[in-house]
Amino acid sequence: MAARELTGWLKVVHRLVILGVILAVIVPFYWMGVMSVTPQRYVAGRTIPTMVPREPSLVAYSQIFGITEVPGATGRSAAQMYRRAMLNSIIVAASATFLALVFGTAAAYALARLNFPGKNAAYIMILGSRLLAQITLAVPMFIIFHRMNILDTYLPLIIMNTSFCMAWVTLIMKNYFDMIDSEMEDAARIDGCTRLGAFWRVLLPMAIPGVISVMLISFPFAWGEFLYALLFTSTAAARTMPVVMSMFLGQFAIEYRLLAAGLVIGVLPPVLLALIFQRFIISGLTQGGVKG
Amino acid sequence: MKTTDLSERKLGTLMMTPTFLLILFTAVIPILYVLYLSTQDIRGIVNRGFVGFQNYVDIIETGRLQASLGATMYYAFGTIVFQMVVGMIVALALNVKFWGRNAVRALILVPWAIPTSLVAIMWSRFLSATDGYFNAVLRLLGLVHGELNWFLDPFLAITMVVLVDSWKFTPITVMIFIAGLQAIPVSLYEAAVVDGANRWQQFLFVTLPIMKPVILVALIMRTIFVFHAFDLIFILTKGGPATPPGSFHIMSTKNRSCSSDTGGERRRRSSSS
Repeated sequence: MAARELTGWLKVVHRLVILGVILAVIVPFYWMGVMSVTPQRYVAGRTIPTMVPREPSLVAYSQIFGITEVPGATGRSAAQMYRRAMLNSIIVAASATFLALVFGTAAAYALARLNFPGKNAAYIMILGSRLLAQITLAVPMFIIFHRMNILDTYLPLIIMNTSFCMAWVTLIMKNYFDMIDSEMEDAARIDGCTRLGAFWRVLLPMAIPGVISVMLISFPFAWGEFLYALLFTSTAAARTMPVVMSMFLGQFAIEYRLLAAGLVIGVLPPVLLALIFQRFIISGLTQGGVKG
Repeated sequence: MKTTDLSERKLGTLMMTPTFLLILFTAVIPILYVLYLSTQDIRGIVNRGFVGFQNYVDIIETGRLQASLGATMYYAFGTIVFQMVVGMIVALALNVKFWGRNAVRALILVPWAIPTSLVAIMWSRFLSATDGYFNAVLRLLGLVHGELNWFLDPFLAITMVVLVDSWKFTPITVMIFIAGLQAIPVSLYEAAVVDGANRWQQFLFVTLPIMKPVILVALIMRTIFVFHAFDLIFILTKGGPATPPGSFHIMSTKNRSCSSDTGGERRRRSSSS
C-alpha cells in the first residue's frame, strides 16, 4: 500500500485529507498565538475576533513572568497566582515522575525477572488499579487525606500522580524487560555481578528507550492532572497550573491575552518533549496501550 | 561471591513493596472504603448507620442516574465512532508516500501531548458564545447568526465535547493504526491487484481483515478511557448549565458537593470500567 502512487481524484481527496489534518492541528494554536499578542479590545466582545495579530506585543508574556506590571488588582494577583501555580506544577510533576520511574521500574524488574510469592496477585492489582477512573477514588482519598491532615499541600497530589503514573511505568517497563533477552544479565552474574548489579549495569542501560517513553507519558500526565489538583487544594499554596488557568476562564477582569499567554507557556513543555522524543512515544504508546 | 547476593524471593519482594503499598493505599483501600460508604446513610457529618442498598435505589429513583447514563452513552459512542473512523482515514492517508509525510506525522502528536485540562481550557475560550473563534468562523461562513451557546442544549453540548475530545485523542488511534498498516506485507496487495481488486476492495478484503486485532486494541483502549473522562467535560460545560449534560462522573462530583447524601452516588463502580 505504502509504495503505490495515488492517481486521479483519489490523489485530490488524499491531499484534502492531509490539508484538513494540518489545519485542524495548526489553526487552534494560531488562534491562541494571535490572542496572546493582541490587546483585549480586538478580541473580547467581538462577534468576529481578529484573526490576524493587531498591535502585536509580547507584553502579556512579560506580565506573566512578572517582568512588566499588570494593570488592575485582579490582573496582578492573577499573574502572581499563575507564577506560583507554575512552580507548584513543576514540583508536583517532577517529583511524581521521578518517584513513579523509581518504584515502577523496580516493580517491573521484579515482575519480569524474579519469582516471589504473590507475584501474580501484585500484577493483577497493578493492572486493575489502571482501570479505575480517577473520580472513583476522589471521595475516599479526600477523606483519607483530610484525616491525615495533608490537604492543600503537595503531598496528596504527588501521592496520587505517582500512583497513577507508576502503574503505567510498571506495565510498560515489564513488557519492555520481557522483550530483552536475559542472556546478558546471566553473563554478568557469572562474572560476579549481583542480581541488583546486573539490573542496574546491564539491563537498565539497554532499556533506556523504554524509560524515556514512560517518562514522556508520566510527566505530561502529572503536569496536566486536573481532578485531584482541583479537589485536594483550596489555596494558592498547592494549586497547580491547570486549576488556576481554569479559574481564570470566567473572569472578565483578566485580559484574554494573559490567559492565552499562560496557556501557551503551559502547553510548551509537554509539546516540546513530545516533538523531541517522537519516536519513543510511538513505541511506548503501541506497547503499553496508554492514554495521555 | 554468590553469598552476598539476595535471594530471588527476597529481592523480588523488596522491589515490589513500594509499588504494592502505594497501590494498596491509593486504589484498593479507597475502593473498599467507597463500597462501605455506599451502604451507609450519611447526612452531613452524621452517619446513621447501615442502610443496605437504599442509596442505590434512591439514585435510580431520582432519575438523574439514568439521565447522566444517557449522556455518557452518547458521549462514549460519539467519541469512539468518530475517533475510529477518522483515525482510520487519517492513518490510511498518512500511510501513502507524499512530500512532508514525516512532518505531518509529528504534527498530529501535538494535540495528544497537550494535557486534557489545558485542551479543555483552550477550547472553552474558542467555543465562547459571544467572542469565540469557532463561532466566528461559522459566522464568516454564514452558518450561524447572532450568538450560539453550544452549552445550553445538552445534545449540542455533548457534541462539542465529543469534537474536542476527538481533537485531542484521535492521534492515538491514528498512531496505532499506522503501526498496524506498516506491518502489512505489500505482496498481499500485489496479489489482490492480480486478482483484479480495486482500491476499495483491497481495503475491504486485505487491509481490514489483517487490521482486525489492531482495531480491536484501539477500540478497547478508547472504550476504557472514554469512561474515565472528567476534566474535559467539567471545564467545557462546568458540569452542565441545566444539569443534563455531564457524564456520570460529573454527576458524582456534583452530588458530593451540593447534596448531603454522600453514599448515594457510589454506585458507578459497578457499571463503568
